[in-house]
Amino acid sequence: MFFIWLLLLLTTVGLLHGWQASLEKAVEEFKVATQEMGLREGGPTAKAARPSVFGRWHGRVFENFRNDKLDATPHEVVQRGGSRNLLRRNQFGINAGGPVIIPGLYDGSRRTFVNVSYEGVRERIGRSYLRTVAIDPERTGDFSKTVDAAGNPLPVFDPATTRSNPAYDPSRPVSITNPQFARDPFVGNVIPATRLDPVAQRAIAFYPKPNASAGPFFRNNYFVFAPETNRAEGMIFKVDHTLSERHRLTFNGSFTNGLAGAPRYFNTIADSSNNDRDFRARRGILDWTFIRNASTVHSLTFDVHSDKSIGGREGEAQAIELLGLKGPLKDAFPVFRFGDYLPMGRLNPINISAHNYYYLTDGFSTRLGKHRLRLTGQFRRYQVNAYLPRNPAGSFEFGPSLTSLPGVVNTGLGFASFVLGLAESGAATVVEQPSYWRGSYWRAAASDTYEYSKDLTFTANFAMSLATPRHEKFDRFATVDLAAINPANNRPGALVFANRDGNGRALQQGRWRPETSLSMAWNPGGNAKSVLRLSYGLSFSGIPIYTTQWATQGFVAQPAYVSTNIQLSPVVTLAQGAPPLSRPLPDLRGEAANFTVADLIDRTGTLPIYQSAGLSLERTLAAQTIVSLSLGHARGQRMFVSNSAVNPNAIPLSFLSDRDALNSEAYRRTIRPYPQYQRFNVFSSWPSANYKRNAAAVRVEKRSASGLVVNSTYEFSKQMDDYSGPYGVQDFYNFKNEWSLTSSNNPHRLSLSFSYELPIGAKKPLLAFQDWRRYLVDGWSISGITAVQSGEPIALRPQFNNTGGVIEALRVNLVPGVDPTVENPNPNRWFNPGAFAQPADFTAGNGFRTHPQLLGPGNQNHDLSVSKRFAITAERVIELNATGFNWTNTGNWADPDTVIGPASAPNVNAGRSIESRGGRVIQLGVRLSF
Amino acid sequence: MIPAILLLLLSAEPPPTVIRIAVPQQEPPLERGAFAAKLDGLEAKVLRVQGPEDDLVLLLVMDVSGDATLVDTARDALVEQTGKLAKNQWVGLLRSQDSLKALVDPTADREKISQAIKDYAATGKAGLLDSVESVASIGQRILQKSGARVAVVYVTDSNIANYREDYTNPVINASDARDLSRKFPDQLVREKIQKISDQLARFETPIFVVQLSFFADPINEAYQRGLAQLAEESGGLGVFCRSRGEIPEAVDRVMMAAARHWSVAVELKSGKRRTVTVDVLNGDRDIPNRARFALGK
Repeated sequence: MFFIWLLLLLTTVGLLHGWQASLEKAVEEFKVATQEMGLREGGPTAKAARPSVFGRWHGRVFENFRNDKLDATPHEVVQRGGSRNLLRRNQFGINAGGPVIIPGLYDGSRRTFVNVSYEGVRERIGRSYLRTVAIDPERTGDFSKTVDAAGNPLPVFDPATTRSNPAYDPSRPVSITNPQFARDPFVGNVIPATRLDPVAQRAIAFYPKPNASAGPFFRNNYFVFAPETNRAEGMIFKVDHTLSERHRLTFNGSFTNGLAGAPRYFNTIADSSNNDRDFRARRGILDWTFIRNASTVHSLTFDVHSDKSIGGREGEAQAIELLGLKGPLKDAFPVFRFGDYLPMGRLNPINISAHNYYYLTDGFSTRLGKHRLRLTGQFRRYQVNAYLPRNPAGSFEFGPSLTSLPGVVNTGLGFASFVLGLAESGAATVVEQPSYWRGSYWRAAASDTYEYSKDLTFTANFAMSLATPRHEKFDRFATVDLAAINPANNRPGALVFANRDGNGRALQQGRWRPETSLSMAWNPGGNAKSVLRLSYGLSFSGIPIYTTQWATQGFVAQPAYVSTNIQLSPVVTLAQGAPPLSRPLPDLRGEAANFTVADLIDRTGTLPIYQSAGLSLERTLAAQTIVSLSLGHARGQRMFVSNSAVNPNAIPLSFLSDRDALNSEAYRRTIRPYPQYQRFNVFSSWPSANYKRNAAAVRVEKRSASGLVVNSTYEFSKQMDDYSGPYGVQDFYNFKNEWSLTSSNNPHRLSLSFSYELPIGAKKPLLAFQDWRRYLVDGWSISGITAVQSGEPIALRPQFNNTGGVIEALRVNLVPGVDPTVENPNPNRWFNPGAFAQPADFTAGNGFRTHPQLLGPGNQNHDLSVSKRFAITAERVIELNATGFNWTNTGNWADPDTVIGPASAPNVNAGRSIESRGGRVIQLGVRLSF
Repeated sequence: MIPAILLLLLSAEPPPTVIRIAVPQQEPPLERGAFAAKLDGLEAKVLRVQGPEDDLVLLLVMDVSGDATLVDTARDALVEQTGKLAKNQWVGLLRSQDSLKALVDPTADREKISQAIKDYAATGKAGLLDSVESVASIGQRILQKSGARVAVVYVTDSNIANYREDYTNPVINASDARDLSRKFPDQLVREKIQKISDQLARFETPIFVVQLSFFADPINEAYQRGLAQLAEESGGLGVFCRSRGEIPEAVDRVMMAAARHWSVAVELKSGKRRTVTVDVLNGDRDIPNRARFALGK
């Protein structure tokens, strides 16, 4: 018995000893290993165990290459008979990062880390455009071949023969059978050479000739395939330094320089395409983090961002002299517009802007019981310097009115008015100094996350912010004050200036804005596989600090050239030039902006409000599948909008009954709310628009054991607003009538992405070769992205707008009983144009701003990427990559022609789409990782 | 000649003679005496089997620097779960954000571990990808020297953008409107995961991962998929929490899986193979297990 007990005792001791021995050995080995690897607090580091300085740096070198020889010729080029594309692109770069170690001086292997990335781009790419230019005879005043949208001859009348029509019956509308004024057509529809304006003729020498015949008739007769040259290089630099266990500093710096070249519509000084742009940007972020204890962290961040952009082209400064155009104009080719024809000149031929943004952010977070609190304070300072003269060489509009039979649509032609040198309207800007805008922003925010239970969490955020309105460094800031009395006519509305006459330096009010958001996450029934989320947010927009010279009138001159009657009198004759400025700058009178398009800022302090609410349910299913369903609602009120959506000086539509009297500028002034102004320029900052969006989405994520991962999302949405669209608002006094689908709303969107590590090679089920063949089969992967979406709502517009300037964006009429849809929409007949009609003269259209049923052609794109990885060593890998963007070479149809002509001359192209765009692009890439 | 041969023999690393295969516990539970194994399809000798009751060193690695609400929930769950471990299941604590550091040596002292978990500050740069090979190598050394089972458990909330090394390939030239190289932004992450996967194939320690915070952007999705891949290839498990409510269950699941895993030592005959394929059976049950190991350096 004794021996049995002794045996049991010895066995137990032995087992215990063995247990203790294995675990104690484990602890001993842990200590040794962590000591050798330098992982212990205060312990020496065993340098022998560490790789060399360079061995601890990692990064990559790469090159991505595109060449048109690899690509499909774009559809739009093929359709114009072209067979080639232009694309030469090299994108190259390097990234490296690791600890900072200077042998013998500094060992930051556990304290200081650097990561540096450089990337450069050299690109030449072809751009194509299909436009309409004047046909050859028109350049010399011969309009005998000119036709209207229906293909009928378009008569051009001689404005020099204008006279009153003694047979005019004022009780009947003006029409071709009852003209108010008589005017003789040019004989043979040809303008005599002696009548051609010399300035216009000099300008035409810089204008391109037709080179295509897409039609219909002479339209779409100029196809451009122009190279665009781009260059960019930049660097990102990050340093991360641990001062102590509790203090950490990080610095992120970056810069980028480059040239964004613009393709030319034509290679002369009259080109109307965009400016080339030289740019540079710099950014630095310094962040200090102080860890007070495990639950309390304090951080301080200083962020500086600076950029500069210079747009323009060389060799255009003498254009005015070359043309012989007189007036207060300079530095560029003037803008000449002629209806649907490709214009000449650029709106902002010279522009320089520079921005400096400074952010100081202090954050503090801690835990109090079941509450997680975060407090944030932020101060921002903005500096924006801008030299952006609009139309320094003048902008002149050549409409059909002066060569029409006055009051009769589908007569006259803008280009005919141009060759006569007769402009309907015009504008210019005289800018002597840049503007230096300044602004700041304060924000204090508190956030609390409350853990009600394991399955239920509430988060509440509340913030107060104050955006101080912008001011100009030298107080060159002005606006029309709608309450101030104008000295010229004693009517409300006069120009006021910052820091003068009792005004502060900022002409707007600063507003404290309370913002809040609430959210909840709940696992119903304690089931962790399901999550229900609810959220609500309320926020406001700040007062923007724009990058132009808007609202500096008086310090800049913005003369508007307004005709007394655009049907009868030109505002400018090119041969005579633009009128000189009436007063030198600065002109600080209350009436200095009279008879111009005056800059107007909102001084009420009204700010846009945004609200959103969301509900989502996420459920983890079997087989690694996750399904999410979500519903969302968002709305914006009093959103900032631009001149196409707001006009406080609009003439009410009730005056349309005055018909042809509205063509007189003198009469229009009597019925404008602010008769001393032509219009107001609110520059995208008038708080008046509204929108609502409802959306439902389903997302499925599936990960299979074989290495295939698929994500797919489908969204249905409906967004309505009272402002969007390509043409603008018809009635500025009845926004309820403007409520329709948002012009950019794609109701159906489907996206699908996948990645698949091919199941071949070592460690994979198939072709697990051990010999040389493993180099061929290892490391293959394939990824793809597919996006399909429906088209956007179609916005229709009548061909002619004979409303005396009362309506800027005239809508079409609906033809009762005619279905606008067609059975199988196709490029030749996307919708039924017979369902719409040109409104009668001096009436508003009764159609929709954007059509509730008609959507433009949908859009689809499929990208595919194939990669092969070669492991040279454990750390060095080469990856080859071939990516096909739009690899299916799908062409997406452009929107159909939405212009509806009158019954007498219908637009034969209405409802047709004349081109599709897109083409497969292949990019080859190689990357060496180390 | 003889000294040269001796020198050669001494300097050459001996080929491994044993492979320890981590096998997850199954329902119904596996039987200790019923294990069998095949290497490259051929029957191999099972040298030793260690089960859930045997000694375990659990290396708990914290890699958290994000939402403190999630981190605090994970802390509570970890304290609870470490308290449930058996007395012969010792826990060591490391942190991997900023850089890998040992905080507490493996110990049976639950109070010490709990306090260290609570005191640990959740800030800094993410470190899982940079540290996982080192932690696996520590586990391997312990495995070889002590004979105890070893498991690595990472508790992480890492966002791929929070690494010192750049995996997100951020836009450098914002003016480059036709930059399509970032259209598939997950390539760098996938490449890094593949590199680590190759390196981890040399080690036998199973790695378990609890990701506390799920990010739905493409780069983070690839990163999270990669973490799951690394865990599964090592014989461990990756669990991802999409809400705070999932964290306690996920921590429980991972800690239990780590504590209850089996370690099956199989004899490896020398050869010129670079990798070996392993199948483990328990009786007539084919057990899902880590399938491939890299041999040699």
